[in-house]
Amino acid sequence: MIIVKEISSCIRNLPKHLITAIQSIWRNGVMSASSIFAVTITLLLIGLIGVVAINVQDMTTSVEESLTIYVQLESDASAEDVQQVGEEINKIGQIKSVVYSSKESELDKLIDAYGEDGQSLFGTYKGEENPLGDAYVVEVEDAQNLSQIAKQIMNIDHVNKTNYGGESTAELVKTLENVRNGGAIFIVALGIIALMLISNTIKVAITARQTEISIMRMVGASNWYIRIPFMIEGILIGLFGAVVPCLILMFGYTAMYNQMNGVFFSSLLSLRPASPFVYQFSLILAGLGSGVGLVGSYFSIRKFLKF
Amino acid sequence: MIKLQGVTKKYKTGVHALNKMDLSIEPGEFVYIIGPTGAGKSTFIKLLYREEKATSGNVIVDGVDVSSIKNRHVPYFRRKIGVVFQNYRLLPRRTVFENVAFALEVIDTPKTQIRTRVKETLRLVGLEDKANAYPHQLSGGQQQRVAIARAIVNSPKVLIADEPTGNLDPSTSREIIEILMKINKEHKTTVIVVTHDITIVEEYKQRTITIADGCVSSDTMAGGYDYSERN
Repeated sequence: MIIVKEISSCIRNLPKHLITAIQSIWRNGVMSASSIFAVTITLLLIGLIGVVAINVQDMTTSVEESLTIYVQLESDASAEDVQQVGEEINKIGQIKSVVYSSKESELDKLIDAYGEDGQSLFGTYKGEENPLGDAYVVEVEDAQNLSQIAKQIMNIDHVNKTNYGGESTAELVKTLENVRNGGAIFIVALGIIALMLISNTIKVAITARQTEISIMRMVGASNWYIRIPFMIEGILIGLFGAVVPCLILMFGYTAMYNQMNGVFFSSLLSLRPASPFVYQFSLILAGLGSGVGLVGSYFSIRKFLKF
Repeated sequence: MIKLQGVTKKYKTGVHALNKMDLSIEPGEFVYIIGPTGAGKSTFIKLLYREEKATSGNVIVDGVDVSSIKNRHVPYFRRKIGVVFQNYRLLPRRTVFENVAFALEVIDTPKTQIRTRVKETLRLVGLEDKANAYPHQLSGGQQQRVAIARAIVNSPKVLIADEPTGNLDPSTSREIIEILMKINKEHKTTVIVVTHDITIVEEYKQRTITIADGCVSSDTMAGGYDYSERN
């Protein structure tokens, strides 16, 4: 019964609590401002790292998807030999797919790759004169195994050469993963710092209103009645702190995305489209800010409300 | 109204504040609590409004064992008790009216009721013409009267005054005690006054309980100190 009464009282008094919270932020101006500033910095960094991490994630996925080994066979390999090689590759394991490409289509690809000059340069090799061998495009499951599998394929008879993104691809994948993990740790650390700053600010706000709180407790105000203004204050500090990071994210990322034509130097590394990503991410930042504010204020007021 | 049965209070610091204290106060009584500093007077009243919990024994207020009240219910229990302190504890940025109304606002009293009850209570303590003044514009005695108004505006069953005249001159002290007696008489509120002020105790004779070394050392209806105890 008391719970129902307290919840309805909280809702009824929400406008009053909101005014109290805003007054409190205003009265402890310097402290509130520094707290808001701390949230801003934290969310900016979280935003920056988050944007990088999310794009890295996308890129890693796309790079990982294109982890293929190009296997060129000897040009004099017979049809049976070619088939034999295909079967042996499949036996290696950790392989996602093996796609056969005939020497004719290999030549067509070569001609295409050279663009307008392609036909005049290589056009004459079509038919019997084709010096190229058949090929397999092998897709592996895990980038880590790339070089090892390539080596194993090299040992199969009638394989002329294997070609893959090489160590650099694997290295890139690894670097991207490190960035992602490092970023996550950094974000958690920053979140804790912001939490501590907010809870400190709320502690100061509580101290400033200690007489008021002691009177409220004396005359029988419920704990929620006392607590809610401070929780609102924490949420507001978090939200105010999120304004600048969200604006920077929305306008900054969109501008950067347009400037770079949606890719990061190479078309392999495409950026996540600005909309709706920036809005979703802004929402997350605002949620993080207010959440941290809420938790911070809850913890700092807890010890003042013990009986 | 108030009953203590073998109440012992030991603080975590090792201080032994109350030692098997037995006491009974009937509804509508006016009681002085006196005794030397450190005798356990403050602990006694803190037990009454559940600021502290007894280590052992029962503290019963208005039929409820205070120690057994759940934390969540303590605010509701406190609505039955009004407390006045030596240092008034008024909110400096609020007017007299707002200070008194504050006690009702925070327990969700409807606005229309707040107005009439605050006005009535200010009339009772003789401050109806100071409703819009701020605490710093008032004398000590007037501030204490605001504090009393705030403590009783919710019509509590028990009014506890902890050294209410400690900061006041003798004539103002008399005014305060007279107001407390008036509340006791007109509202049938049980009033407990903790005091060091012997002149008051002897002038306005009422039941006087002396606490020494954590228990009741004398309990007399004659008023004043029980001198026989001191020899």
